[in-house]
Amino acid sequence: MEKNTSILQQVELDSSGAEQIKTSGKWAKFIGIIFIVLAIISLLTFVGIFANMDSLLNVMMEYNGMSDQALAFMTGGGKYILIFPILIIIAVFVLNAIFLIRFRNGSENYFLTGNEDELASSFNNLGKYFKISVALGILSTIGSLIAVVVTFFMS
Amino acid sequence: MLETEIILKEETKNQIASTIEWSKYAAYISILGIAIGFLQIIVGLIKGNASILASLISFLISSAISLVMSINLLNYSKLIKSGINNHSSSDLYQALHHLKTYFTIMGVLFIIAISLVFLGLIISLLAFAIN
Repeated sequence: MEKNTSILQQVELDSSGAEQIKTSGKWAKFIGIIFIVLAIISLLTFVGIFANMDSLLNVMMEYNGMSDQALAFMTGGGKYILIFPILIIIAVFVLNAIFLIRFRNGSENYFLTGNEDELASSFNNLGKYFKISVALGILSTIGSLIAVVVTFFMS
Repeated sequence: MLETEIILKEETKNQIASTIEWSKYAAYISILGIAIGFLQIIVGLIKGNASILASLISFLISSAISLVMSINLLNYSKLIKSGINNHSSSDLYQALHHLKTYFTIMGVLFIIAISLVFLGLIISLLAFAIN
């Protein structure tokens, strides 16, 4: 079917879309930087807690109460169980930050150089960010659902 | 408005298309989260939770924000699909506008959260200094 070229023009992604992607990219970079800061704070907090675990547990036992068995477990190998979830949290922060910053850099490079591969790379990273968001969303939803069930049947 | 046809390489279209499904799933998960939050409020009411009013206010605010973000993601997903399939620039630009709104809301929320953390820190330090 022949197109009416008087009203339908073929163009590359131009300034009309540039502003939208640029603004998205700026916010994405800002959010990415915050994720990196959160990752660093989480890591430092974790190192601080882990280094003083024994004395922290003794204080907790004093104020909240804790069985000797639980205390022995935590001061023994139990504390190492904490490493896995905390490392996952830090990894998620870092990955989110990398994908968001790459999304911004790709879109910025596209408008600077006109190289469309940069735009493709930019959206590839945006897609990865959405995948992580979905995975986190599923985990959070499962956690919330468990909390509802526990509250309803056990409290 | 002058309708233009976007010319993009197949690879670029594929990469843009890869965000369609995942952004839609992210929006659905977020809406599901709102529904579970509502369920938590109902359970709190049934169980006679003492802080139900605070929970309700917190739920209403967070749900409204989540809903706006989800709607923007769903619109992005729908319009970017239509923009690529129909080579429509107006759909593509509207999709990008919704993506921009999504990131803007998230960025502003981060700024508010950081401000509140700093405010809390200052208040704690002041309280500590006074005592």
